[in-house]
Amino acid sequence: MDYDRRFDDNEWTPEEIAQLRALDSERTPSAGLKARTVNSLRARHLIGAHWSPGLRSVFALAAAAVVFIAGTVVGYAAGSRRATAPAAVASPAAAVARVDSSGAAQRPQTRQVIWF
Amino acid sequence: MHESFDASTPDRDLVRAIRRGRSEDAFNVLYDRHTPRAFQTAWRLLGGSIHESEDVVQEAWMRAIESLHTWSDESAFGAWLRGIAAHVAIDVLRKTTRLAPEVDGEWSDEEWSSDRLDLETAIVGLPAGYRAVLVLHDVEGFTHEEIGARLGITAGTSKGQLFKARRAVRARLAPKQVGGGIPSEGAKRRSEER
Repeated sequence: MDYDRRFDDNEWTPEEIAQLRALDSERTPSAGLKARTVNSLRARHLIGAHWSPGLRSVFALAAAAVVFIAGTVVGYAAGSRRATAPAAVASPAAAVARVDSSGAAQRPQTRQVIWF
Repeated sequence: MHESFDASTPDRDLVRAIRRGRSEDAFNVLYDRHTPRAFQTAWRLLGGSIHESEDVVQEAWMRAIESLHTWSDESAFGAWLRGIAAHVAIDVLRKTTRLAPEVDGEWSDEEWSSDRLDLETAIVGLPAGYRAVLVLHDVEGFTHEEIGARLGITAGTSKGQLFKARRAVRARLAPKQVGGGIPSEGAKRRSEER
């Protein structure tokens, strides 16, 4: 295409290409940039504050031990409280039922005859 | 177990350490290795603005680490990072509306304050649209299709911009030819061709 060829005519010469290649490929930013970048990455939890697998296992074991001990203590406390607790006071409904049932026992039995 | 990293540790091992364990030590090595080139790319694209270039590099690292899983160790990490930096720099140019298509006319001599005009200065001093295409194509090695996709222009427009950018660089360098500018032999050959 003429359009492309026209632009291709403007190619760099070998000397110019050499000049381009000779341009500095690196430039050193300020020292503060690294600190800023690291802080930003830390803030987003993208780097740092990592627990190694070993440390993670230790923490998991410690957490499991704490849960087990807490469960044991709570269970023991609950068990000892039940053993020393006074006899449970009956609820009003249970008391009424008991009175009713004792009264029924004392009532004379009546025979009922049904005529057909 | 604590892994140790140094300048000889390959990129893929460093990346793996960051992916798996968010290793800051691995990041430090990766940063020291690849930042100067990414910074240079951003600095050129942004016309020599150190402050903006540093912001761009910082943002490029953020995006790179966030999307580290998308990097394939078959490609060079440095080139991948520079691509991200270029993308961020273009976003900055676009936000500041400095990426508008350039007019055909040359810029005024008053824009050139330095007596010593080398190729780097000539490139950095180009209008943003010319500079972006020239840096991406002639320095970073992007194709016109890739440049078009990044800049939101067609490949043909990218070629046109590159043509004008090269002409502008030559125009600025030819009269002075000082301090590592384009050699006079090349300029002579071009004038003969005309």
